[in-house]
Amino acid sequence: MKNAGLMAFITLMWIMILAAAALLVMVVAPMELVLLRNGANRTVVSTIQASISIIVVMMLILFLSKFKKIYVRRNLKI
Amino acid sequence: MLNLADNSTLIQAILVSFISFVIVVFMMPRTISSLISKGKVVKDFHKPELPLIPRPAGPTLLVGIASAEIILFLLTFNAKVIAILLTTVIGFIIGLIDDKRVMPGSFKPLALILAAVPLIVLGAYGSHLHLIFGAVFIPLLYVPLILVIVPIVGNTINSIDVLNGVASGFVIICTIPLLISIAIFGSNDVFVAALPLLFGTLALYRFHKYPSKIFPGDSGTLLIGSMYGAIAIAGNSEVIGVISLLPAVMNSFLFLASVKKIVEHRQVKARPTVLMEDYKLAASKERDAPTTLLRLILARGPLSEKQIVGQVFKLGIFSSILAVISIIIQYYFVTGLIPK
Repeated sequence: MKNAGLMAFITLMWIMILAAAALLVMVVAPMELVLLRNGANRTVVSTIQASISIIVVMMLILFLSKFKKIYVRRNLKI
Repeated sequence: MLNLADNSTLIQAILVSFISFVIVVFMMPRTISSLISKGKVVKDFHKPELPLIPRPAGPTLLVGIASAEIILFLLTFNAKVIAILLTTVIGFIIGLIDDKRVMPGSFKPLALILAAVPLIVLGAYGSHLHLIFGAVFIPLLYVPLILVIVPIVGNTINSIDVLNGVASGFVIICTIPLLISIAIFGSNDVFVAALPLLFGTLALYRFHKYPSKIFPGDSGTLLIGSMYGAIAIAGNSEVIGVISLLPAVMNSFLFLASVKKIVEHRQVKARPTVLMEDYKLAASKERDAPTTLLRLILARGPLSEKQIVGQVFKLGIFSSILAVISIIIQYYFVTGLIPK
């Protein structure tokens, strides 16, 4: 298949989106239950959650960028 | 969840699909003649005789889609329908400005932030972001997210419009999983409001497919992209919409990562592809040339324009399958069949 490499790249992007989504839903979102129970301020909890979410997305982009470099170098031979 | 047992939804769905398709199909030949007579044509550089192709098809596509949406609003009085329509119209106007005069690279992404405003003002969004494995409650973070989603999707569709029929054909493929997702996780009205995007683009594809009789122009692609983003937001299907568009997202990502700034394609001196004597396209060997999806498709050897379009569609079908798998996973988590 001519596009096997590109399909693998797209699959990797998909898996990473799922992984980031799972982390946000299963780890970051429930954090508020624990933190609020321990008396933390609502605004502080939301700020922490938003910061973690942004870091997760940034890491996703960074990892993709690294993978892209390897993929492009190997395929375009430049 | 879509309820087709409700006869009015079924009638509305048939009506808006028919109106958007028929108006575009019947108006497009006249638009083509009119644009040719006014000299609003551009060269198709990938064909031997460099034929002159009329541009833009955006205004005709807008008439088809807007007519259907206005009728739907008059039948439902749902604010989400008007929000989707306004976002689409603003996306179209931004594209039309870019069609008429060459604007700097940052113009489209920045101006498209305006297109997202109707969705916020008219409250066409939920307080939960649907993330496959569940929904997260982010009432405040969601607003800036909308201001990011619409420009990204608009520009993503715009940047994939590189060969005959690619943008319209690709959007048709990627709209199908989005519609399935809205049918399951969205509402009846948003599902029906999304149909003109599919049927209007289907009608456009008849004229845009290889060999193109008309090009959509920035007005056409930004209209389609803004509407796609608006529907994904109003239909609680943001992540599914992104997964479906992954080849186009990858194209934008590759381009931005290699150029390292937001620029217009025409401002980039080194081209990602090279046109050969037999009118096949080959990947550029220049180190400074931007990396794009097209360049990677051509990495294994030169291909004709028609073959490349086929390859892009195959990638679109592949990402759409991934989007459908994601919908199935989300369905099981949302219905509680798989406990979180």
